[in-house]
Amino acid sequence: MKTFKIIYIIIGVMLAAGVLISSLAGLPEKDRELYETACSLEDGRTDSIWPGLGISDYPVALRKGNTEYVLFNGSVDKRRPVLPVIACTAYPAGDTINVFMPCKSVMDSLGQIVEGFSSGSESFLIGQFSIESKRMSDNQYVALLYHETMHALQLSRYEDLLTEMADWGEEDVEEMMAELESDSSIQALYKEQSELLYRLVISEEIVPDADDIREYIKTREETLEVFRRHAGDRQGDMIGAYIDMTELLEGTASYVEAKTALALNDSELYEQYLSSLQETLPGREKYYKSGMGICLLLDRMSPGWKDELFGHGLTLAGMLEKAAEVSDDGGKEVYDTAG
Amino acid sequence: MLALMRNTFNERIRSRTFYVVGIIGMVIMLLITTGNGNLTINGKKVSGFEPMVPVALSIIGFVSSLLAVMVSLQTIPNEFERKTTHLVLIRGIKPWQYMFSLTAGNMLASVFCMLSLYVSLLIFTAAHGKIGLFLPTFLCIAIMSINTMLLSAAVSLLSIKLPVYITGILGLVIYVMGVLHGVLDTLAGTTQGFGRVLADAALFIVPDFSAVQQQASNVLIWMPLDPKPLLVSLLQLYVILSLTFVVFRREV
Amino acid sequence: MKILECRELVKKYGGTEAVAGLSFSVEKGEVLGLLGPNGAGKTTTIKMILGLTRPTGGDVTIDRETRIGYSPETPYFHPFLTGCEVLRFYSRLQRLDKEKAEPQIRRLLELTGLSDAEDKRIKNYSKGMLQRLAFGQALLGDPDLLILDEPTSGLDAVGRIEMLQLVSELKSKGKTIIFNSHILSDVEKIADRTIFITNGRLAGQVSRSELCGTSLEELFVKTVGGAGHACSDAQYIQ
Repeated sequence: MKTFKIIYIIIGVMLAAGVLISSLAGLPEKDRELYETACSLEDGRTDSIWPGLGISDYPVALRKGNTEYVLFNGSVDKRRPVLPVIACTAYPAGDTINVFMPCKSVMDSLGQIVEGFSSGSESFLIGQFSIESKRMSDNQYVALLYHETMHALQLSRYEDLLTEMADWGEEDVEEMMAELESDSSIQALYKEQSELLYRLVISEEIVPDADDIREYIKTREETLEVFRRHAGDRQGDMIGAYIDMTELLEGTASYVEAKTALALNDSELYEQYLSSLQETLPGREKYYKSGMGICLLLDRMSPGWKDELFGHGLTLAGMLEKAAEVSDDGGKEVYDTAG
Repeated sequence: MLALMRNTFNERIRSRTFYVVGIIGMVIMLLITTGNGNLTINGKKVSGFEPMVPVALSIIGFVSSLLAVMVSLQTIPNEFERKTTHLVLIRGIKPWQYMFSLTAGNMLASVFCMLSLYVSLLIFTAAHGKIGLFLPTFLCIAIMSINTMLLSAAVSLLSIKLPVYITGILGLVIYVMGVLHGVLDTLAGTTQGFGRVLADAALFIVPDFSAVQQQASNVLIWMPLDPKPLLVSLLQLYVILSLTFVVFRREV
Repeated sequence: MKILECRELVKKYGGTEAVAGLSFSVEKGEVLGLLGPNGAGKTTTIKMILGLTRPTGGDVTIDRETRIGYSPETPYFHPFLTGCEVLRFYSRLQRLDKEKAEPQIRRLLELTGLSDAEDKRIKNYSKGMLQRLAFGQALLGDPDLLILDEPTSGLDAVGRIEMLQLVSELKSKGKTIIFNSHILSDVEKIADRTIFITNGRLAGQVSRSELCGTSLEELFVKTVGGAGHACSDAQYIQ
């Protein structure tokens, strides 16, 4: 019995020591690798994503449990979480704008929740009760990192614009839109928009057809008209402004996500982003996708559009329309000349 | 103590309930893995080796956990109710030795039940010519046995003091929360205030079965193993076993 | 020489006092009979002696080297085991040497008349068979002190006689026995001394030699039948 007690105590001490040592390990190796992968794109590839975008320009706070690991300037610091909840976002913390992301393992878990609720309870339960649960790919995680880094860049460069937009009262508009979007005519128009945009983006023409673009823009305007009919002119204008704002901020960030996938040579992931253009997503998410789609079109129609976009009162849809007019006037030649 | 463990193991694996549930589980497994069961998930038919593996692992995980709860639920209460405790304790066996041995016997019986279900998976793997997967599957089983032992030990400990039906319910709650631990932890992270404190406390106590499952999954697909979730689970098992040293029914 | 001493034993269950200041001792080699009505506290006293329940007050002193065997009133064994396996199981718990335990198990099965049923599962045993097996397991390891709680319960007439003969044999071998039974004639036949317990207290005691002429039954009714009446015919051994 004495031997048993001694062995039992030794086992306990070893287990406690093992847990302690593994807890002191700090940021999981996986997340460190993913951050380094993200930083490696700054070898010139980030210029193709967005000019001046660099993940190492901002402290990146990866959250695991009740600890944040802040990666910046080659060091990793631990701190208590700044934000009260888990979030993927960019936000000022102290003097600088930080990029906040959950660690990869937490993202996998979040992804399972989201996927489970969207793909059905059977898949979700099998995923949870099985050891083979679905995870987010590494490249997808890096792409998300860049999505949030884009927001950090927006915050740091265009603070005034964003402050103005923040005073806007978007929650009221979202509530209003949620009510109106159940209308079958609006649903049909959304579907038409998504399909048109998707066809434009995947078409193999170097410069998309201007007529097709005009048709797309016309469908957008028709949708707004229906909103105006239901809600009144003023509310309709607010909805229009809301859509433009969301496309500007989130659409460009989603575009950065997709371009990151390309920079990582993950064509499968890139195709997934493109495929999502066909879907009529609920809520504001559809404008993330429409914004991304417009950015992809602008890449082909108006090189240098990124330098003009922010701070000049332009919307993505407006730039697209202008690009279509230019295209009509021989814009293709301009494009070819610009190379 | 070994005699008590062996006796408990023998009694548990002879239980009729174990055979009924175990056989049902094995039949379902065999039907599905041989393709004779028309399995559909979200309306899509599932067949073939790769899609079947997660389904098979789900069923085994669920049935073996159910068996672990059922096997462990009544062992200790039965000993007190039929007073077999008397003839054990008068022989110089201390109460802590007795409870520990019964709990350990339950754990062994639960692992045995789990292994018998995994046999059908090994047959399924061999039938598809994936002999190379045997080693990772064995390692996967070894890791999953941690969850089975942990659940069995927790139910055994609860059964010392609580009525059987309450222990059973709690056992199932612990299992479900443990499997959804990662998801619940993430959801808790999106809340604030008292709810968050409560959620954190509950998630601290409940073992993280999902993290162990994740490591078992890593082994199966030849990905690196993170020892931390396994060590934490083993430490929790150690704590539960240690509690059996001090928890006892006062009157025998 | 005293092998067991109980001093002012008290056991309370909530507000109920099952044993209320019971004191007695047992000499080595003695057969002590315990008598009392239902609910007198006999089984509770036995549990305290065995250490199965802790006294609320008082203490029990047993010589450290004393090996104890116990046959419960209602024996329970694991139903999936056979008779032989039960004895083997308990011999392992007692850490008896395997080589010495096997012949002992054989002998006990023969002694208790269970040789033919040794491979039968306990769930198929009759009450009498269970009682014999309980007696058999109590004798494992050759105990110095035997506590028998209703050892003849469930036995037919022949079985009772055989059991009492066994107890007498054990007594002649110098074993100390505490014998609890409802059957007064059994106690009268074998007990050297009998104590009467009512309401958790010692109501009286009598040795065999002091009975002369009076039956234990008459004494029992006198002592226990009227509450609180002391027995004038019994003499107390110093």
